[in-house]
Amino acid sequence: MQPVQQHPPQPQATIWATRPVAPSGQALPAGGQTAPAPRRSASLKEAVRRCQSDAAAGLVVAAAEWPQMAASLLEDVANTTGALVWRPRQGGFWLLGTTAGAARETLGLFESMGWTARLLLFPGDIAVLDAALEEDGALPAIPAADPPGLIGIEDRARAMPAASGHALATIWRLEAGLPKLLAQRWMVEPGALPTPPGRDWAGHAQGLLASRLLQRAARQAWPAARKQRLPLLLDMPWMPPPSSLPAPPPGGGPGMGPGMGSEACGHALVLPLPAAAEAEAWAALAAAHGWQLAWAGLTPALAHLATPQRLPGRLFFAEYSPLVASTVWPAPECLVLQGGEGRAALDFAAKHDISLCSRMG
Amino acid sequence: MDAAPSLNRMLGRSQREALALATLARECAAAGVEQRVMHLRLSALPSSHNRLHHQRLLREALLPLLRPTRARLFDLPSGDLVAVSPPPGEHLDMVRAIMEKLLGGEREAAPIAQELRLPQQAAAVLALVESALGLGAEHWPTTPIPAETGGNGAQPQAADILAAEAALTQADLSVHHRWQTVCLLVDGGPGPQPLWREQRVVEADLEAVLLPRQSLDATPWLRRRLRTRLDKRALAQWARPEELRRFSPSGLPLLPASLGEEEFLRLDAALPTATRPQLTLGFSLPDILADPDAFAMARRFAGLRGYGTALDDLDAGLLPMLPGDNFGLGKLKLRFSPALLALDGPGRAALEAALPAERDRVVLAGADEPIAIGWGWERGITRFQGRVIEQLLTPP
Repeated sequence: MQPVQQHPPQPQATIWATRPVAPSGQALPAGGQTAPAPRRSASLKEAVRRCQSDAAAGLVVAAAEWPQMAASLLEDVANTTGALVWRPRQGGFWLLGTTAGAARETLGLFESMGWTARLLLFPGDIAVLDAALEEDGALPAIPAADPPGLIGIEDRARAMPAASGHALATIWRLEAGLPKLLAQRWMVEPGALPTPPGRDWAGHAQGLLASRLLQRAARQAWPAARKQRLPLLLDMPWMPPPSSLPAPPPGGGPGMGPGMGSEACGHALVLPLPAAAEAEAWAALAAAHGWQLAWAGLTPALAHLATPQRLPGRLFFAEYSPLVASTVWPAPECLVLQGGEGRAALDFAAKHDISLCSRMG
Repeated sequence: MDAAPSLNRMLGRSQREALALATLARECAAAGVEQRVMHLRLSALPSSHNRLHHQRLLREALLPLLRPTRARLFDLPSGDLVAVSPPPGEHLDMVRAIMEKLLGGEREAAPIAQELRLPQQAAAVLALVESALGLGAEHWPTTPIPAETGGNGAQPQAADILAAEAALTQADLSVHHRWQTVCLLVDGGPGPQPLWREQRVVEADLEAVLLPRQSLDATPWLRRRLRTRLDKRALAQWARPEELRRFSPSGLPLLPASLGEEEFLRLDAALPTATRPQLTLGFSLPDILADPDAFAMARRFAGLRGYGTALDDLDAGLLPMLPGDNFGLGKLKLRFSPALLALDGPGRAALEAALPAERDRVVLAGADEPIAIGWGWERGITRFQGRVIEQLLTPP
């Protein structure tokens, strides 16, 4: 979780608007949901008045993936143009009362970051602002929600019932118009162990659950719904290559799974992508214990890695997104899409011989 | 917690007690040891009560009562008191009675004094520690935790990381900082010409202080938490006016996500536009792979604001993973290792093919022996960083 930061009191109303300061002078918590929306102050009234009567401009950012960065960029503009950044209760950021030139420039800045924003030219667009002000006024202040705890998360992972926190997914692809089952993946269920926001805590929680799978594999306690004739892919935590690995389950065997013809994938360990820094050691260890390798967490920006020529593995898992479909993948027959059950994903997969990873049997 | 004296120095007394209580709860859960826990939630007293006054009164009343027994009293940072005693622990009932008397009536005291049992309610005890440390704990259902004795004590847990993070917000890190200069050094040319300086934290030393007898190697996600905190400290330091006044071309290794942190954005706002290109932000390949979305954001933002960028500290064995455009980063900092000397013909050719053709974008880091310089020169590399360079820069 984000710690509460101390700030010196800021003279500009613009800073006040994005980072509310309590009467004590102590900054209130930052962050999308936790910060209470500021009450409509004199400075917001003044900014709204300017938007209503002058030829002022503004920008509305509905949601930003990196809220602090978006706020900081808007604050920069607000500081230099005497404008204000408003954070309504319903979320998002509004730059109000700036010049049309500055608003257009900021829009360009946001677009080059890959974020969407809408230009507002007042007084023409005043109805948009009025609607937002009304919505903000109608919403009750949302009390800060406590994020899930972290202390003892390891104990909680251990205490979870054996059957929870993971799933047995199916890897399949369309062949001659019919779905063909290729492999099964014993995978960690994302979010099964809740954590506060942040990539690293989520990664740690996923690692804890993957460790449980590994422990069960070490006891040869394979899932009941496993199909003997299919290869099994096993989710692994991000960790250094251990000294030993469990033996793969019986059945399956090479040549059954998806992949490159005779080079098709057999039983495989699914490693998180950052483990690629030790890819060679993992490949040697896996081979010595009868496993192959697969990699999870590919993104369009890292598409070049999704081929056995770059990484010692047969399969590469990527989360489906429209961007995935507009990316050129070096070895589409080795690609497996997750989370893409929609028509567009199915068409894209069928067209390029790409496999899918589905949670339903 | 088996904290070393050095960690203890970094933490306040009540923080230490809270962590000691967490350790006790974990140990009881692991070993199946029974304890009665009385949680006196003084922080929940109505504001009409003088909490400090009550706390002092209660402590004075409780300590003599508990001293002769095997019970322990913990002072938490929230002002709460927690008494832990092996069963039957009748004196805990007296503790509750004293509390009720002090607060004038059972009705008010009942929600203030809460009893928990170990090992069954270890999760609840850990949650109260978390909340006392101001970490915003949710109160978990009190799931019984199966007794486990085979836990790996050498592997830190989230609680240890939170404590280490707390220690890092205050700790003096200057002894762990190292500076190195990246220099242009041409075969047959003059001595090394400084290009920029890099600040780095000696993570291994710092980890040994923060988490004695533990290793973060098996929990890389947790290590990234500490590195996030280190990034924030470094960035806050760099944004100080006196540091900005004496700014010279510099390099800073960062996690990509750190560019979204307030500390970076404050530095960004304070750096004049013309100065930003003189700051080279370095991202390592494992960090890029661990959070590709954050990296995409960081690269765009760095480009937008005109910062220099580098692929930091790349192991030569990972060169085949590089895309032709070096992930869109300006420089490539290759880490020298003696294994490079042992490469055969095809290995050398593959390596050279993977290096950016513009060799002035390549820095050979870890040049700790003169042989590294020679190896670099053979490959047309003229930018170096390492002990050899530092020695050359320091007049004898």
